This record gives sequence, C-alpha cells and structure tokens, in this order.
Amino acid sequence: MSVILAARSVSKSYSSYSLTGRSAPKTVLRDVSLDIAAGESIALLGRSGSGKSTLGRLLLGFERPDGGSVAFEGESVGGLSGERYRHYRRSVQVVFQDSLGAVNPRHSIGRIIAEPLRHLTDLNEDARSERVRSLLAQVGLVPDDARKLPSQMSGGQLQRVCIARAIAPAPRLLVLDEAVSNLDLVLQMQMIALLRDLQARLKMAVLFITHDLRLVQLFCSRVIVLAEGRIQEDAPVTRGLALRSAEGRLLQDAILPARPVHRAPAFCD
Amino acid sequence: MSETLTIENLHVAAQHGHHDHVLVDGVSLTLRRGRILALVGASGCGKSMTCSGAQGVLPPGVRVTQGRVLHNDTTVAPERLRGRVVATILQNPRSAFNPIRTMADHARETLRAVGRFDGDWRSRTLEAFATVGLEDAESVLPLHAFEMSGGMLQRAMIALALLSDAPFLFADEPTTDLDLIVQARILDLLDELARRRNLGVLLITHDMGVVARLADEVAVMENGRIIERATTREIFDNPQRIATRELVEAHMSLYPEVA
Repeated sequence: MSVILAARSVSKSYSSYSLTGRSAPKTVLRDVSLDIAAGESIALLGRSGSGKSTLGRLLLGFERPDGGSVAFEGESVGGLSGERYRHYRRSVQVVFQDSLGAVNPRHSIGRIIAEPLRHLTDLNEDARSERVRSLLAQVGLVPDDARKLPSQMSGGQLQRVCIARAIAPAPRLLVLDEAVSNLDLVLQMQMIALLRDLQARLKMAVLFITHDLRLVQLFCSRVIVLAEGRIQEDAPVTRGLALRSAEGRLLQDAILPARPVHRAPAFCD
Repeated sequence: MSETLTIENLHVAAQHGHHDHVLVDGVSLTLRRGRILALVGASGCGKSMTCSGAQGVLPPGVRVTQGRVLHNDTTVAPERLRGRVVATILQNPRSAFNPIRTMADHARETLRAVGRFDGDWRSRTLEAFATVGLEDAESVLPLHAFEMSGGMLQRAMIALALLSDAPFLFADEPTTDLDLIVQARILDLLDELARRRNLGVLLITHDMGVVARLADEVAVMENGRIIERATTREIFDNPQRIATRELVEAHMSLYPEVA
C-alpha cells in the first residue's frame, strides 16, 4: 500500500523560558520513524508526556522537527510550496480534544465547516453550502444547524462539527488527538461509531492519539506505544491483544475493570 | 448506627431572565461513613450542581431554591459543612490551586479555614503528603502548581482534603483529566484512604469503569433527578431505567472480550 505520510527519525525538544532565563532543552521525541499507509487506522498510545501529541503536531506540519524529517507522498513537508502545499493541507486534517476551543465562537456552524473549503478548494459559494449540507448529514446533524453558533450546541454536537470541518476537504489522513476524551462514555461510543463509519466510507487513514487502550481495540488495526519520546512497540491489534513492551503492559494493566470488583467492607454499622 | 450525611430534597436553579431554569430537581441522598456512593449520569444531568449546591459553592446566577443538608440528624449550614464535615477534591487539579501560592501556603490556608492551624502544621502536612504517595514530601512544600504534574497535583489536592480530617469526601470527577496509569493509582489511593479513614465518599463520575473499581452503591441522575439507585452489582447486572442501561451498555462495549 502507498505511504501517505512518514516520519523519518524525527526528534524534537523544547526549552521553557522564565524570568531567570532559558531552561535546558527537554527532549520529547527521539529518533521516531513511522509510516502511515493509505486507509490504515493506527493508534498512537501513551501516557501524558510521552510525546504522542508532539509527534501528531510534527506530522500535521504545525511544527518542524529538530532532527529528521516528515515526508508527505515522498516529499519533505518542509520543502512543499504552492499547490503541493495546498494538497498536503487538504490531505492531512485534524480533530482536537477541546471542541469549544477549536472553533471561533462568533462564527456560524456553516461558516466553521466551510472554512477549509474556502482556503483549500476552488468551490464557489453555492457549491460550498451544498457541501456543508451534505457534511452535516454525514456527521448526524441537520441542515438548520448551519445557522447556529457554537454556544448553542452541546459538547458532543460541537465535536461532530469539528469532524465535519476536518473531512470537508476529503483528507487522506485524519489525525484524532484525544478527540473523544472530553465526552462522556455514551457520547464517546457514538463518536467512535461515527468515526468508524466515516473511515470505511471515505477510505481515509486515521491516526488515533489516545491514552485509553480500550478505545484502540474498538477502532484501530495497529497500535504504536510511545514512552519518553521513543516508540516502544508497534503491534497489530487483534482480538485478545496483549502488549509486550514494559510500557504497553503498564497501559494494559491500568485498564479499569469491566465489572464491579469486590471492595473490602469497612468496619462500621 | 453509623455517622451519616444527608442531602434532602435539593433544588438548584439558574436564573434566565425572569424565569428559573431548574438544574437539580429534588435530589435526596444519604452517605454513610465507610461507604462509597457513586453519582453517575450524562454530561449536564446535574451531578456536579448537586455537589456544589450541597456545599453552597454554586457559580454566579445559580442558587439553591430548596432543600437542606443534615449531618446525622442535624441541619448544617453550607459554610459549616465545608472543610469540617465534607472535604472536596475536584476535576482538573491544575485550575484548583492558586497559581502564585506554594503547596505549603495551601496547606496553611486549609488548616486555618478549619481552625486546626498550629505549630504542628508542618509535620501534619508532611504526613498527609507522605500518605498520598508524594515522595520526598519536604521538597513538595515550596512547589507551585505549575511545577508539578497532573498526577502530583491530584495527590496534593487529596492530601489537603485529608488535612481537614473531615469524615466525608466529595470527589467530583477526580480522575477525568488524568491518563489511565495515573488514574489507576489515584483510584487505588482513594480506595485505600476511604477504607483506612472510614470516609463516606460521594464519587461523581460519568465513567462506569471508575464506578466498577470503587463504588459500593450507585445513584443515576437524569435531567436533575435521581432515577435509579442500587448496589453497584445490581446496577451492572440488572439496570432498570433506559438511561442506566445506556451507561452500562456504553461501558460494556469497551470490553468486547467480556460482553
């Protein structure tokens, strides 16, 4: 299968600045390589601070790696310009965790979803609003929602809006950075069902960034475990998945029980 | 007869122009020492407002319109409840601390608020930090919130709650913002402390995994009302109401190999 996006030995470190000056740089990614093929659904699994969101940001081109490179369809992202750059932007889209923070509160839902169409496609206004109507339907919203403001929608509805915006330019890869983590469980399950359906219909690759192995098993065919900025494990997701790396086992052991566990009774009554 | 805390017929409303929008609609609950009661429900069902309303710490424009809280059989005003009878830990520990105060400042403030501040404060604080697993407690005292990880902050918040020595604990989504590894450790800690200190806990959560791990009993909320209450096992095995069934089913779909 053809590789859409590849990280080639990428490294990244950050320094923090305060009144007393610049701190020693903290390395968050070390020599990470990853190929994402067309149509694949990959989970990037790790705890807080493992570097998973930073890797996502490098793949999305929001930041440049300090070492190594990110390649889109074989070309280094840093060297893209003009129509090639627009093509990359259209092809790789993202949904973040905080939907309310990811939209302009003064823009209508219709305008929010049409934004990538205005910048990244040549559709005229009529074609854009036609496309917005179809996108709203695809994510389970109604045409009238286009006139609403973000404050008039619930958290789950607004995350659907963010998904509609992300799939608007027909991306080849959708990055989901903890995109269901802010929702309650019932909504999380609805969102996973929606994303699975969209992925199958639109034949996109998906990079699902999460700390919750339970969601990985519902949604992904391959899991990459990240810890301290390095890939610890790269495994296919199978029924009865058992991770082998130390970090993978920690993440697996941390899964909450499915059924009530017996608590020792307290000494009262 | 064990010590109890009862929320009785609590009503909470938000003012919208000239009329009230009811957020909590007649909730009654009883906590017993040594028991963990989970209050569950979808986002916006009123579970956090129940917790804030009982303690008199509602956001502006929202108020208690009816109801009271009883400690054993005596009515207690919210300001006498907070810290003395009920300690609280919240979701998102990063915003729960004053950013320009150190952990030592927070400990002193907590002890003063409940009238327990004296020359011994430092050793009691260090003991509470050690109890919650903050290693090298001495070095934690001068830290600000921004110098600590989410897991450390949640431990510090639990330590401050313990300092008050209150018999009851309200835990509002205590692990929602933490990754699963940290979450598992914090839940172990809460379980152990509740048992060792014989705390009565009101655990607010939307995660039935947290309920399965920790709770003895469950109350399910929908549209500001409690629609079902039972033991945790009953709720999982034999949910009666549609909203309860939805919560359990959504949870069980995360465990395809069990279902």
